[in-house]
Amino acid sequence: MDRYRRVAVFLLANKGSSIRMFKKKNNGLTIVHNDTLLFLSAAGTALQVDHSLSLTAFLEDDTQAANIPPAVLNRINRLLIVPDYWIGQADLSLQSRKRSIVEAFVERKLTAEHTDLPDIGLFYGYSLATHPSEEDRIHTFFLQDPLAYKLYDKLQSIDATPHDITTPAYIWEKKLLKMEPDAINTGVGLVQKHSLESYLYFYHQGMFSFSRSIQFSTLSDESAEALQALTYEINQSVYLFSQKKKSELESIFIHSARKEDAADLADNLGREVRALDVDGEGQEPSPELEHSLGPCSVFSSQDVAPSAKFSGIAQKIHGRTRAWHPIQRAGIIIGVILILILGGEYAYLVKWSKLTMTSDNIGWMAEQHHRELMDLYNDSLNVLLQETRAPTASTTLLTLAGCLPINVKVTEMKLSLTDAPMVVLACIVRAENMVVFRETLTGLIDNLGNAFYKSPRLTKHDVVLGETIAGEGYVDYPIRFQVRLL
Amino acid sequence: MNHMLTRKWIAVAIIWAGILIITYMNTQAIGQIRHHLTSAEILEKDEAFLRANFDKITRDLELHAALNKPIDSLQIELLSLENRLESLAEKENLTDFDMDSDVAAQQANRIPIEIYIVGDFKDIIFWLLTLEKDMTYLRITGIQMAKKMGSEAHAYSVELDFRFEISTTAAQLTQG
Repeated sequence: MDRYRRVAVFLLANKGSSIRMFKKKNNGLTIVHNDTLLFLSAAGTALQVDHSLSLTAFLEDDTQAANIPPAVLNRINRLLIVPDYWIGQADLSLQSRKRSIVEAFVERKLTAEHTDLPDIGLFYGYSLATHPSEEDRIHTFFLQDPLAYKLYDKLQSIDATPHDITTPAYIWEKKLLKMEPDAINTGVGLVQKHSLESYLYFYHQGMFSFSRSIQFSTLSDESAEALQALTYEINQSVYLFSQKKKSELESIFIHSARKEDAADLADNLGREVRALDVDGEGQEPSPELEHSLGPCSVFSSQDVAPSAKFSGIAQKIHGRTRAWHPIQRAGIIIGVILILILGGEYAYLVKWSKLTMTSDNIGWMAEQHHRELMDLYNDSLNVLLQETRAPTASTTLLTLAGCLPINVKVTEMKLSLTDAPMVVLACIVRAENMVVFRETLTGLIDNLGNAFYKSPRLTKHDVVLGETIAGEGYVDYPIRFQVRLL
Repeated sequence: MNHMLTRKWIAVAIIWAGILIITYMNTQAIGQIRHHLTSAEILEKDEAFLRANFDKITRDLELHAALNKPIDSLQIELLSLENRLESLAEKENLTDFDMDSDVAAQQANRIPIEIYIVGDFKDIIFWLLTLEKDMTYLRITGIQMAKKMGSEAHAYSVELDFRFEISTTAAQLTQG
């Protein structure tokens, strides 16, 4: 009883954590833009800001974390979007494509090259080049800004550890791949133009190359000066792109609230610039949202969903841990289903077993009685069989008498019917001469052989002849022999 | 996170341990049911066999029972047996009847007996046939025949085992 009470106390004490284990938390994400940390959640397809605070204050002042609403904290921080420059990129060369070797190699290289970042071995991602000419190339990306590590630790301390860390450039990469699959596999430039700032992204062979951020001094919608500045920066970046990638930029896309920007920029650049409509029905983000979210203001909840499969960095240990979650979930679900099925089977079997046991109890007495009777009968049969197999005295004597020729007279007989049944006979054969005696003896032996066919056959040598007694016209031949009875 | 992972693994382990336990219990229950069914089947077959062979079984059991004579006292029974055998011998024209019992050679439920008798071969055969048929508790273990001196008749020495069973009442009285 005491044991049950202890179990109940334990269950009550752990009730909260047990429920938390199976409770489905809501998803949220965090964005770092300029010096602001924003907590967001999905509101339909759009993203809504639930809370924002100064990044510096959050990192340096512990009381700031206490001001975050519990509703915001009590959800899974699935993604942290950091500025592009927080994540560095490097191309490494390695022949092997074996995961364990590649990871050890990347980890060693990054640790050696970034001695100021001791945890860099935990915060990196990589992709293997698929192009035939770059078979040994490993494209790595890693957290290169110490602020990123500080932020991660801080978020972890308030139980808001992000599952993945990515940048707007990586989200654009997958978005472009979806919208312009042919173009992104060449050299592509993307201009994301907001009213007070613009972002330039450059991709080569489907992979992010570099990005730029341009601040405008005046509102870009009304300023030709801003467009000139943008043109200048694009030209500089195109030159840098051709230098870095040894290839020309094939296409330039622009995303801007002002529809004329594509044509104006094309005029300034002297090349085609294609407008990119990412907002579907033309609903542009508000200037306030642009200001607070920066490049992330154009992203929908689908763009940042795990299904978008953009490049990202997951803390190595946590990433591995999360990889087990689907297996655990499957194990629990399948296990519970099996328990229900097997439990049902057990209940049915117990019910059936009780039914058979009831009838068994009724028949138990009868069974015992029958068994005893059968045992007794078996014993009786064995004894009777032994009795009938043993030769009987009367039958043996009658058979012996039937074997004796008419001129043979028994003088002595000893019949034994114990373990080795046998008969010893002493007779007198009355014969006129030796020929008749021999014939009589042969007849006697033949008769005995036929009557006791299971016994060893008697020969003349087995018959002991005694001293003959001569009479008138006959001779008495005393003989003695024994027959084994089988 | 690792803490949560461990808890989930514990949950998985408990659930699957439960599955193994229930599977074991099911196997046991199936085994038990199978045993009950087999017993019931055997019982049914036994019943059918006993019902179908009731007469034969009864007869065989009676024959078996007749191989040992239930007695209350060995001495009294030996006297009675001697009288009965002598009477039978007289009936078959056998003479010079004499019976010896070797009490020293007595075993748990049998005692050797030796009978001396004189008569014709035919008569002795009839006498033996009566013994074998009506007195199955007497087992003939040996016969010796010799010509009687100064006579045409033969003298027989018949060795028998008298198989008996002290009845429960008698045994209780003896023990008391």
